[in-house]
Amino acid sequence: MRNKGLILLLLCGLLILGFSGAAQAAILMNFDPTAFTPDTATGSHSHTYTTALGNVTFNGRIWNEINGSPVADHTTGTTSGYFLKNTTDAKKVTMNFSFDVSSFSLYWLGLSGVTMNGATYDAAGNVLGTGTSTGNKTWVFQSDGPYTSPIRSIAFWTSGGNNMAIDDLLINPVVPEPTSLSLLGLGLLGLFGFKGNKNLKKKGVKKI
Amino acid sequence: MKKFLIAALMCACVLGMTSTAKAVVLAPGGVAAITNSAPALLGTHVIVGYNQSVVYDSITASITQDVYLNSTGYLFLYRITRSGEPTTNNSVHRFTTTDFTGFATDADAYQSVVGDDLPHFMDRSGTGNTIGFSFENLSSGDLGLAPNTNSAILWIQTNTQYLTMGTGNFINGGVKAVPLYAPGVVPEPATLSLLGLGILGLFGFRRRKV
Repeated sequence: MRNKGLILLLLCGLLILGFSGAAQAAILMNFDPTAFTPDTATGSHSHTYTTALGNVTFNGRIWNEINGSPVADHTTGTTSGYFLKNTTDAKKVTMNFSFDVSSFSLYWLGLSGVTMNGATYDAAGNVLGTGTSTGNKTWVFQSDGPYTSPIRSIAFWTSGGNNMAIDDLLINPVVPEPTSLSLLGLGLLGLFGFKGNKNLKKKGVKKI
Repeated sequence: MKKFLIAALMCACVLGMTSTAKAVVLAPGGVAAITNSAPALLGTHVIVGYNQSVVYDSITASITQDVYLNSTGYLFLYRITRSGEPTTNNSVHRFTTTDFTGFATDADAYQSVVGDDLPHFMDRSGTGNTIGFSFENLSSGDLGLAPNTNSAILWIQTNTQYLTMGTGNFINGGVKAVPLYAPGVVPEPATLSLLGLGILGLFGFRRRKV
């Protein structure tokens, strides 16, 4: 009986290890028309972007100008770049993830002298981290995480409700580590070991 | 019980093997020759043709980056291109990229197009953070990546499972930094508790053996 249990556990362990080999790739959201539909109407818009990891629900406007002028995309250098902009009604760009996020990086575009704020939250809405940046009409790179608990939502806004935008959001999912999983496997085996001991004691069987 | 332990040991061996391998291992503090081996473009193509223009020190170049996630981790590819410049413009002596501390890396450069400039060597800083490809070779009079030439594909295979934005540096007397994708930091909040469980596990076996 006990041996069967051990073999089963070993198989489970191997299965877990097999899965851990296939880490899931980071997601890049560039808001370009190839994958995203621009919001021609002004005001805030709610979007759901389906990924291999789950859904990203976000509010803001997918657009290509700030205060009436087109802005050069930092990647291509052309003025046709699209990004996620905050809007005069909501003033914020917010994003919720249906899956656990470890860390992310993005480009932040603000107007000259405008202070931009950002925050990350866990599943319960607790603040994990905050950051600020001063806009200078060029893209400013920002990176956030990892934290001890996973990120489930993020928000960006300007202090005076001025316009700003984010682009090329790179989202890293939480990846289980193979070493951790092998330790977990050992741990489970350990629990079985103890259980086996107790059973032996109960039955009054002499240990071999 | 013995059989089981042997099976467990075999498992551990298999685990260990999956994290080794590849062409040229570039350890911290190491310098290695370029062997012109092709990178294996497997897995998910996460970053596709990310491009940055590099204008400095009488150089007008651009760098294109592609990133794949394969079973080992993220694979970073770079190619520097130069066109439409006066031939009197300076050559690019060296290209470096950062954020590789703590990660195993295999690196090389591959001449995908005949005539593309292969670096003379590659190196990694003592901390392991910076990986550099040097195009300049003073002893042979090669000043580096000349105007109107393209570099070979510079590639770095890492075991990182996370991606972030880092920097690439063009070094030519002056330094020009451009944003490029790089390995991300590894979060390990749960590992220690698992280690605790693991130790308990070992005790469990020990007691049964008596």
